[in-house]
Amino acid sequence: MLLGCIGCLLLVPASGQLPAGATDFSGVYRPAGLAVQPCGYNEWLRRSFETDKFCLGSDEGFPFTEAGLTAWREYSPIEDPVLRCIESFPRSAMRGRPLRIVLGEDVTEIAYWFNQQWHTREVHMDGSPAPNNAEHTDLGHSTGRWSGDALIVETTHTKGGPMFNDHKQSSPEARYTERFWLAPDGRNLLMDIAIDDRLYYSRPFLVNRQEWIAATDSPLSQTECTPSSIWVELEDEDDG
Amino acid sequence: MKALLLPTVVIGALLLSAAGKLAAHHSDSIYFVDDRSDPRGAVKIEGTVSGVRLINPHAEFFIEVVNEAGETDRWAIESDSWNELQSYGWTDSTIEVGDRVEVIVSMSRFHDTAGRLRDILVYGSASNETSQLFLEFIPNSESGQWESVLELVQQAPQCDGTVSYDFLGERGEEILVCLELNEQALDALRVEYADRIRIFD
Repeated sequence: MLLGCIGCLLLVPASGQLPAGATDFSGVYRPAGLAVQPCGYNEWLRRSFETDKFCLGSDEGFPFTEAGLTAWREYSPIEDPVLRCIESFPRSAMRGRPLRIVLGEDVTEIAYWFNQQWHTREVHMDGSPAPNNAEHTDLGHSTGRWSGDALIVETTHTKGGPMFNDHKQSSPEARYTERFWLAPDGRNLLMDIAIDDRLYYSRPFLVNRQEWIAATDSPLSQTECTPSSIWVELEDEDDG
Repeated sequence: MKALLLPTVVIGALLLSAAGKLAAHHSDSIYFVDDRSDPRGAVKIEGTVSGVRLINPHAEFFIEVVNEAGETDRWAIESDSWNELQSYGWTDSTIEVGDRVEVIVSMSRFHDTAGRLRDILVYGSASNETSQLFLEFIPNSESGQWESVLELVQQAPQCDGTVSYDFLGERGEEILVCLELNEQALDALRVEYADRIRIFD
């Protein structure tokens, strides 16, 4: 029963100067609160950090296209990657995992702690888009830029799939825009995520808004995630 | 078998459990008939434990159950995370392969022989050994469905090493209460609660 320590980790210093107006909020954070849009506020530290508890499987407010609604309604929960301990973006950003940000001039790293390791997204600060033949991956391809004191991160080339625990979907064509900025207290971090996915949603909308608490002394869970044999193996049996 | 955890270990498990709860794995209602009033929400099965996986985010138990046709089905039962079970006082010997059990499960929406653990009675391995009954319970719930369980947990002895709960306290989270029962006590409860607590039906 081991507990790691966030404070014991040495953050890699920013690789160069940040642009004027940018705030160096490199550090480790734990989520303080979560708002799933448009379904409402998710009170922090409830028993379950489950976004669907607040959307209740409802499509209210979601600007589904017919294809998006069909993809959601026809999705088999047994196919959910989390049953295999895989957390893809943007879901990985919305499951209450510790967050580590290392700001850099060329590359910024955004990482989520899950299953005993950091799952790191590299954000290319030169704004270079993904190559035409880039593969779609669990974490996608991200580029970053500064807008005043806010870090703007654009992400494409994700695999798509369930965004929330009630399995509302995003398509592989989705483009996500995250904004990160320091809270007025100068310690905590604020973030929101918008999705532009014209295949599944008729207009861009905000899917997530969070506050993150600076957490250098918080423990990192050493819990191992083991894929469910109940779902995974039974599904394999059904497949023949 | 059936030795439960020391309090210090329980505290450590609770710390881990809190972290686990923040990142609940999936929603029960999507995968199971998560409603005890539904005929498939509280199904009783009896059998012998043939497999145990004490894992996170959901522990798994496999039970060999003889069906009405006389054939043996292998049931797969999903439970809380191993971290959470430890916080209730479970050890790796609480349920072991070979144990005879009666289980209340919420049926899977996808498989006929899979479900979510609700209550479980683990018989002692010898006739003079006590059985352990784990009952799902929500303290001070607005729902009337827990009244009989409250009555029972207040009168029956809790298993050694389990966490002390405030059964009348602030409305809380769902817990698994462990009761230690000898054969006579078990028989008496079967009569007294036959129509009120599903596992005694």
